[in-house]
Amino acid sequence: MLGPIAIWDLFVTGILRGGMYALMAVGLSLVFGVMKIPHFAHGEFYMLGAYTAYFVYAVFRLPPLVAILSAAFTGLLAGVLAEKLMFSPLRRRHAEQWVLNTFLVTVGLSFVMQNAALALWGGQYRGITQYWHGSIQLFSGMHISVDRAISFIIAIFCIVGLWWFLDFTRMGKAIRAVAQDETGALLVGIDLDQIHTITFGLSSLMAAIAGASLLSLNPAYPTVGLAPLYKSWYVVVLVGLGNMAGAIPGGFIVGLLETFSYYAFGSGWQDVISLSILILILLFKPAGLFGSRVRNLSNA
Amino acid sequence: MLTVAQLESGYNHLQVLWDVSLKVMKGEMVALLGRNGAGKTTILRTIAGLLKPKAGRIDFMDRRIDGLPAHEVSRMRISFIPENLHLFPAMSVLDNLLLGAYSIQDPRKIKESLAFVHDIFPALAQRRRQLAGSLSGGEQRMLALGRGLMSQPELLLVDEPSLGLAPRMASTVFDTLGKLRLRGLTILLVEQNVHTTLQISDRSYVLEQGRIVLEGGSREFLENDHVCKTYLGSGDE
Repeated sequence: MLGPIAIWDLFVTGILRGGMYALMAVGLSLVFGVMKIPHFAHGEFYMLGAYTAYFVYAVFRLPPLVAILSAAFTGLLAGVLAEKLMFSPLRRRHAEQWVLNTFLVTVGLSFVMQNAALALWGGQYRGITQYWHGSIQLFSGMHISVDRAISFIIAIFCIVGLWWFLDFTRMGKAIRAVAQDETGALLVGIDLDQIHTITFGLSSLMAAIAGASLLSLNPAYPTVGLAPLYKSWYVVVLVGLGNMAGAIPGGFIVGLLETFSYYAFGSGWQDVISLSILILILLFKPAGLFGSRVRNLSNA
Repeated sequence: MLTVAQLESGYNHLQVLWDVSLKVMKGEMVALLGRNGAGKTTILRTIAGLLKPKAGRIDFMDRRIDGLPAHEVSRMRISFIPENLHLFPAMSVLDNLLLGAYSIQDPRKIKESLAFVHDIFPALAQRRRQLAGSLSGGEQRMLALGRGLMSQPELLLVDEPSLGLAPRMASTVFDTLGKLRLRGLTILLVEQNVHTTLQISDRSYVLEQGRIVLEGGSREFLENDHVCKTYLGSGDE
């Protein structure tokens, strides 16, 4: 029923979709792994990125890359502020019940940011048709818009960049150290406050880049972050909480899964299919697809 | 070098230490002895900044350090090697060591530290690419010691370095501590292995229920049967 060419086309679509899921999920995973925060305001940083890019590109008419970079900067700034104003004071005052408390804080933050966006910019969709014109034709005859291809490249670039940062820089190693053993990190002289701020800033930066580079697909509006939030949680739960390395293949798996179920069963069914698969996987592997018994950042 | 005065400390509402005062001179190896739950580990954790004291003060090289967060204490060249090690299991041996030198900026000094640690623990040099979590218990303990040495500390706080080790491994650890002392490090040691500890340390404090009940030269303790029986149990054999 499916020819090899159709499968190839679906595969490409799924991979393109998965790149952004991976980018969102890696940030979520980073925040959970390092700070133990179940982050439910991740989508609002995506939203912030989308709005920033919209204003810079469509209103001030600056080039697309400038728009995306400003979105990244706004995301970083907002993330650092959020950490300094909310999580850092909370940690100082009350470290017990941390996971539950921070969960509630992020839900609250999500409401506040959504409604602030609604109050500031209204409920209408603010989108663009595209950043870059044209499309690329693959050998199979399939067309991919340049926009889509570049947003994919941006996602890959960010993920590889983050990887390099975590693996090869002193600060990145300190971040992984905190994720693996907080007391050990303190004992070697790592300042936890600083690491937490950087981690949250980085994660927000990546969400904002995702929001900015997908602006032509998803116009900015106050609740635009919800879908990417759910998708990234889906990825993170699928591969195992806090498993940063797993979030990347996880993003692609979810992208492919959705594309194929969309093709096979129609648009109404894609979430049903992918969530059913998630339930099945968790039934047999409760710690997630790549989860080990001990939650850690192995190979991260 | 280190002066602890009238220290009271503990966990949340449970006070463990009462009026603890002790001194460690430069170049000395001082042991804290006492039964389980006497508060030995609590003293080390409080000095290291992992616990905030409720009262009293701690001075290190003419600076007051009580109440400082642990990462700042560590940057003052005090290294705490805890009983449960707190290594970074999913990182390589080398990365664990390099993180030990986190507060050192100068790459030449880091290299120097690494050479020093590799010299003391050649096994860590051989296994530098291996993940810390995959090492044996004894090797992990060496790695923790090595990581603690990477910051070129003046004072080493060592908690139960022989715990869970086979006797031969344990004596290697003690030999190493002796060597470190010869190289000029000051060591405050907590150990269950009373006889060995008394043999290698200069002075000892005996703790009972969170108070210091006895202090003196380790050699005198060793020769005093009464002390051994009353405060330390009848030895470790």
